[in-house]
Formats: sequence, structure tokens, C-alpha cells
Amino acid sequence: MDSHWTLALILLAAFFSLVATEANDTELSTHNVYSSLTVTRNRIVTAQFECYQKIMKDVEPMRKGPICNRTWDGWLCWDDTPAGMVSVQRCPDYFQDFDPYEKVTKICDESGKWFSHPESNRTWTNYTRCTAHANQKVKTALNLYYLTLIGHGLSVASLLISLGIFFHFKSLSCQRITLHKNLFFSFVLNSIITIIWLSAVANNQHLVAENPVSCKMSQFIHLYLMGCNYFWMLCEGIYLHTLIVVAVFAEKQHLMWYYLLGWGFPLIPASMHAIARSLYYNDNCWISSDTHLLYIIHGPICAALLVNLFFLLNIIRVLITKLKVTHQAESSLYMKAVRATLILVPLLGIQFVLVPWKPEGRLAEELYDYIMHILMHYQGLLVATIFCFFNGEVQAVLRRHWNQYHIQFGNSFTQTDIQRSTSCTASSITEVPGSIYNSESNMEHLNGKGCHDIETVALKGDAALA
Amino acid sequence: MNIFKEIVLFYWCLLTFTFLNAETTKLDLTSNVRKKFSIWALSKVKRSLDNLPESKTLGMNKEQFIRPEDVIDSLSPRHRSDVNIRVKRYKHSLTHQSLRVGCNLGTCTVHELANRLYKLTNTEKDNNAPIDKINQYGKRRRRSLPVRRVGFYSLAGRLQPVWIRTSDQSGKLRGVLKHT
Repeated sequence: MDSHWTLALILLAAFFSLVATEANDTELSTHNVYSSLTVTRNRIVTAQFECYQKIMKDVEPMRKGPICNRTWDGWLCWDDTPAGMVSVQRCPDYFQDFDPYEKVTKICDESGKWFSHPESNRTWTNYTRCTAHANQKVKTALNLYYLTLIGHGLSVASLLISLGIFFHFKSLSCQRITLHKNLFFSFVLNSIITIIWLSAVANNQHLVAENPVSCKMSQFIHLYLMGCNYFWMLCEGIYLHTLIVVAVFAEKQHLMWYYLLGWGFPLIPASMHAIARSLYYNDNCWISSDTHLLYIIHGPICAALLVNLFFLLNIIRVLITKLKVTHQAESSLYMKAVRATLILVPLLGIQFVLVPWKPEGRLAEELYDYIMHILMHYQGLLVATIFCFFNGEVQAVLRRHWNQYHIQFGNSFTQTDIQRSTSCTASSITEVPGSIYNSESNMEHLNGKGCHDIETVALKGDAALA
Repeated sequence: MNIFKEIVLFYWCLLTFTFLNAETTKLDLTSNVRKKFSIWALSKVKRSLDNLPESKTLGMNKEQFIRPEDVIDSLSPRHRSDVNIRVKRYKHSLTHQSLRVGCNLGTCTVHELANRLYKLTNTEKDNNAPIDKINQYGKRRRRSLPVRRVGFYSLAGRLQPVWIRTSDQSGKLRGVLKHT
């Protein structure tokens, strides 16, 4: 018992010498002490100290049969293990070529002795898997990191251009576009905070070690904006579903509810997560992903995506039945259905529901990581492209303004005001939900092409006025 | 706004379902599901054990059950350095749980990437693990202790750090380890 205390005191002294920060009264000896301890050594010594503390503190187990005694093997701490069992833990992160996601195994043989390697006859823990693929894992992580940065950069650029178009051309504004604006805005904010989080926090060891409040705050904002993004996708789903399936003759929808759901609701899981995290898993900068508390954020997100999947299926069903009524050719009918699906999948975020769980196995995991990151971080770019740049309505407005610009320089006389007011009333016709069921334009309405036909009418009217 | 009420209802149902799902490790499954799961796990373990050369020499005790202390309690509060020495034990004879904890949903990949970047890009760590410690001769208890360690002695009412040779303590250490 006496020796226990002596050891504890020695280790305690060593530990405090490591964590003590009062290096102000520096002498040469103290300086040497601190500088000669590398991060790796520091971690191993800390782990060793805690291991011995644990070994001494834990009570003797009341168990029948032989057991392998708890031990410190030089890198990791091992608990008492019944004979004939394999003890497994994650690799330590002491070295750069150790993969913390791999496993270490230590075998307790039948007689209650830790496994000895037959070649050296020494007690041996299997650390070989820690270094096996570690370098490749680092490479993959860096690849994914650059992929993410490029994706979000492109997304922000294209989304900002789209937002500029939506805000500049007032003739475009209708409820659908208002929802698009909000969705795009949430995409932009999410992209910016993700870039900041990955490049300034996750990549900055010093900041995480310092653990300032601002870094936890940025994690909170990150999670909130992420929630906003997915809930705006849900809003888009609800809007389309209400427009096409539920309210055939309804009046204009109240956008207030959408704002509440899109910007307000994600605050609840984000703050719940922050509270739970500070109580139960208060790691530095809340950067760790090894906690079930993340389900507080991602449970609601997953639920929103599932609701969207239901909406998508219902919308497709209604469209197909409506198209069948108009006796269209089978092939064009299915082409239109497929087209509508492909358009709506990125808007509603359905791609995440299709492969919801991470597969097991190294290769499968890597493939899954690449696919998921591409889908996730390039979604903004895809949505901006489909719903702004390829949108018939937007293209028509841009074309008209381009022509007008030419005319303006040709003969300094324009009819901007007349033109704008006419097209505005015309495009608001598309907001009358009954018009969706015109067999021609109902499919295109999903992408705003419905406005295109009316746009030409507006132009004709324009010509008549002139 | 009937549709909103429906959505909210549906949403909460899903939410509870998700939470229950995440907690299944701690909850009792119905016997049927449990039986199926253990059969599946057993076959998986057999496969994975075939890959371990050492395990062939061992007969695995299949009568053991999971004790409550074997279940990972990832919600328990931990501090920073604790992450490295967390001990999780799994009985290969009955369950083969992956060591993956936390969110496995597709949308969680962002957090995982951030976490992985943080863990893998620490350039202050030593570059390579010493190979001689990983191969068959490695990881002896006494070797792993540093040759010198820091101790304190008091001088004029102030604590002074000094280097203490570990070999001085090795006798005591051996005594302790014999007890443990």
C-alpha cells in the first residue's frame, strides 16, 4: 500500500510539471524540462498517469474464472479481461502515422495471461493495424478537404450571382422565387460558415487547444445554419406539395409560416445541442464527432429530408396521373416525370436519404465519403444552376434585358417601364394555381418554365402597345 | 394550415424514432431481433477472426454475455486527454460492435471531416511510430517508461523541478505491477 502512494505522488508530480503554466519565473532547468517534452511524449505520459490512477482506483472485480490483469502496455491502458477474450480499443493518436479510427487488439489467452508473441516470447499488443493505412487516410482527408473548399467556393459564387439576378429583376419576384431566395441565402451562409469552420478552426491546432468561447460559438452558428439550410429545403417541399397536390384552388400561401420554419425552428435543435454538449460532452471547440449528441441536430434534419422524400413521391404521382388524363404519349410522359424528379432531387435534398447509413469496410467507407462530400458540398452550385441559370423565366428576362441594352445604345429610346409592368402582371398569372393544370405547362412549372409561355404573351402585348 | 400540423406531428414521430434508434445499444431489443442479431454478429465475428492469425490458437468462450460495464457510455463527461485512454472492451465471442461512435448519418460527414482533419493534421506530433515497438519485440512495460522523469524537491519554500532517473523507481513499479 505504501508503494502505491509513493508511485502516485511521483506520477502526480510529473503530471503537474507538465500541465503547470506558471513558467514565468524561468530558470534554465525548468526551461529544459518544458522544451524537451514533445506533444507525443506529453500525451503518452498523461495517458500513463491516468492509467495508473485508474489501475489503483478501480475495485477488484468479483468474478469467477481466470482473468488477465489490468495493465499499461506503454501506449494504452487495458482493463481486466476474462480469459479467452479479445480486448479492443481505438488506436491512440500519439503519432502522425497512427490512424485514430483503427483498432488495437490485445488477446487474453485461456490461462489468464496476456498473449505473448511466439517469436519473441514477450507480451505483445497488436498495433500493426494503426499504421497500415494511416498515410492513405490522411491523403483522403486532405482530398476531401480541398474538394469541400472548392465546392463551397463555387457554390457561393454561383448562388450570389443567382441572388443578384433575383433581386435585380423585380419582374421575377413571385412566391416561388421568394422561397428560392431564402433557400439560396441559407446555402450561402452555410457555405461560408463551413469554409470558416474547416479552414480556420479544424485546421488550427492552436485555436482548438486554446478553446475560446468564440470557437464554440462558431460551431453553434455552423450547426444552426446547417439546420436552416435543410429546413429551407423542407419549406420548398411543403410549398410545392401544397401548390400541386393539396390546394388546387387555394389563395396565396402565407409565407410567414415558412420563415418561421426555415429560420426559426433550427434554433431549437442548435441550442438543445449546445446545452447538452456543454453538460455532457464539453470537448474543445465541440469539434469531436464521436458523440451521439450530434443526433439532436441530424435527427430533425433527417426527418425533414424524409418528409421531403414523401412530398417528392406524391408530387410525381400527381403529375403522372394528371398527364395520363391528357392522353399523352407514354414515352414523353415518363421522360417528363424523370425530368421533374431529377430537377427536384437536389432542391429537396433527397440524395442524402438514398444512402442514409455509412457502410462498413475501408473501401466502401472511402467511396461513400467521396460521394457524400461531392453531393453535399456541390449541392448549392447544382441548385443555383438548375433553378436560376437554366430557368426559362430567368433566361427570358436576361435575354430581353440584353436586347434592350443593345437597343438603348442603338436609339436611346426605351420603354422600360411599360415593358416591366406588363411582364410583371403576366408572370403573376402563373401564381394562379389553376393554371398549373394546363396540361402543357404543369411540368414546366416546377422549373418556372410555365412563366416562359406567358412571357412570350407579354412580349406580344408589348409589341401591340408599341 | 392543416398541412403544417400534419408535418409537425409526423416530424415528432420521426424524431422520437431516430432517438430510439440511436439508443438501441442501451435498450433491450425484443428477443426475436436479438436472436437474429446475435446470429448475424457471430457469423461476422467468425469472419473477422479468421483474419487474425493469433486468434487461431485460442478457443473462444461463447457462453459469455455482455456485462453492463462493457457498453460504451459515450455520454459520460470526459476531458480532453481522456479520449486517448478510453477503454472499451468487446467480447468477440458474442458481439462485434464497430468502435465507431457518434453520428453515422450521411449529413454528418461534415463534422467527421472536421474531426478527422483536426486529428490527422497535427504536425507537432512525432512523425512516425517506432517500428520496433509495434513488431513482435515491442511494447514491453519497462521499456516504455522514459529514462528520466520530472520530480520536485522543495528549496527555500519553493518547489524546484528536477530530473529523476526512472530506474530508481523500477523496483517500486515492479512491486505495484505485481499487485495489479
